[in-house]
Amino acid sequence: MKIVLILFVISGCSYAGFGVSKNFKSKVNFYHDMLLFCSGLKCDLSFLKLRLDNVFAKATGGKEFVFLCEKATQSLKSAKSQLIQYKDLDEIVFLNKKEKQTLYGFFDVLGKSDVANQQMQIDGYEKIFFDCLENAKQEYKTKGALYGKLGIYAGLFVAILCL
Amino acid sequence: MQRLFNVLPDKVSKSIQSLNVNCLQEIRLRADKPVSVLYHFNKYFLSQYGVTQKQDDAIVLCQKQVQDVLVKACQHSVHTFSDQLSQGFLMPFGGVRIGVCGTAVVNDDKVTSIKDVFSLNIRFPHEIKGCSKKFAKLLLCPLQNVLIISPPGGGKTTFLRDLVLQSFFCEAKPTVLVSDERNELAGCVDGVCQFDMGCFCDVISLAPKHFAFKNSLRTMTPDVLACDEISNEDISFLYDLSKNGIKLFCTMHGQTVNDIKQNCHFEVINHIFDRYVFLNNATNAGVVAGVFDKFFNRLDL
Repeated sequence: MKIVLILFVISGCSYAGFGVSKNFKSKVNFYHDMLLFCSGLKCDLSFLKLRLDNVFAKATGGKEFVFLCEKATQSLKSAKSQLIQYKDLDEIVFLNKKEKQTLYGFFDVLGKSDVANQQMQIDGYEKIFFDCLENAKQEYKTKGALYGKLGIYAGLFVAILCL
Repeated sequence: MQRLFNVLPDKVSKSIQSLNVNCLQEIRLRADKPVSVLYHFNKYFLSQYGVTQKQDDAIVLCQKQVQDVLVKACQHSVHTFSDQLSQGFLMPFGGVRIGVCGTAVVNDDKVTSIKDVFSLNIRFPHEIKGCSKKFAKLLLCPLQNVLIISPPGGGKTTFLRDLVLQSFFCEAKPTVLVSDERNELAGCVDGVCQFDMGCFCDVISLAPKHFAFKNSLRTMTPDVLACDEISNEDISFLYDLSKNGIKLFCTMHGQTVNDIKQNCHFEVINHIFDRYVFLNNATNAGVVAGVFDKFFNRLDL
């Protein structure tokens, strides 16, 4: 019984550690998706002048990115004045307050000006997202592995305490 | 139509939905003024419970609400509609045209956009199938160069749309190329025509007429070219086209025979067109007041 309990504690803590670590990976993927979306968006705006609902409809990527696109599509369908509500961003757990504000700002400027100005604004956000991606990669490299290991060690520590 | 109701303020939307949309021709939204409608050829104010003659009962919108309608109608895609906005209109949904009045934004002597929107005129398209059927014999057998004339709101577009449809049912079954400069004729949404224009019809939307015709003449090999609201600037290239053996169905603003005769390009117009169709907008859209030949002799059915 004790052994089962110890195994359960170790695997539980490891799972939590890897869960936190996975968030760092998801953040990297999310900013990857954002950058890909920005470059695609610039083409769609300048060449075809596509409406945003068509742009969002064909957007693909990770779970969090698709979630944002779906929210934006819903807002467009119901003719809301904001593409993304700030509370929608709370669903994405790995974003900090500053990153949420940046994303909110990005979706807020979309579709509100002509092609030339829109491209300039997207260029500006692209640079910010690129920096975010670099930071996320760095965090994943340093903290991602750390939290994974920390989970195992915490499990072992609790197991030893139980013994 | 639901997409349009979504962009209108709740009060206006609910009131409009209580009306017979088929009789609704225009909604006019003006900042700090009562909302008015053109309903079955009569002007009314719009109250919360439908149309009214009393100004005091009318719904009044503030400037921000009027501006919001425009922003929402753009579907968060101002870049898509910036060219239209610079010309003072917007065609957000199939065939619905929103005329925009406000302060023009001028860059390098060109109007690039409109800000501080003061008023919007939302015009509803109407499809009256068969309104030109009676005149098919005069206009389509054999195919003639046809000019449809009426004042604004007289049903020129409605008549032209049906004429294109009727041409599909005539013996010649011509291939018709439609230059839909303002997307009112076919009302294309995402590449699909919202109105029935027959099976032998090709549509170029939102392109200037001369571009549409010049570039599609060889590639689409049409028998008939159809376009809405020609202006004096279009007359010379239409003349060239008519000399290429292609028939033309066009519309123009005007009311009487004299209006056409007094046009500074009358001689060229008269060289191009074989039939003049005058519409009467007093009772219904697309009602013909008279069909005339090249010499302005009234033609009887």
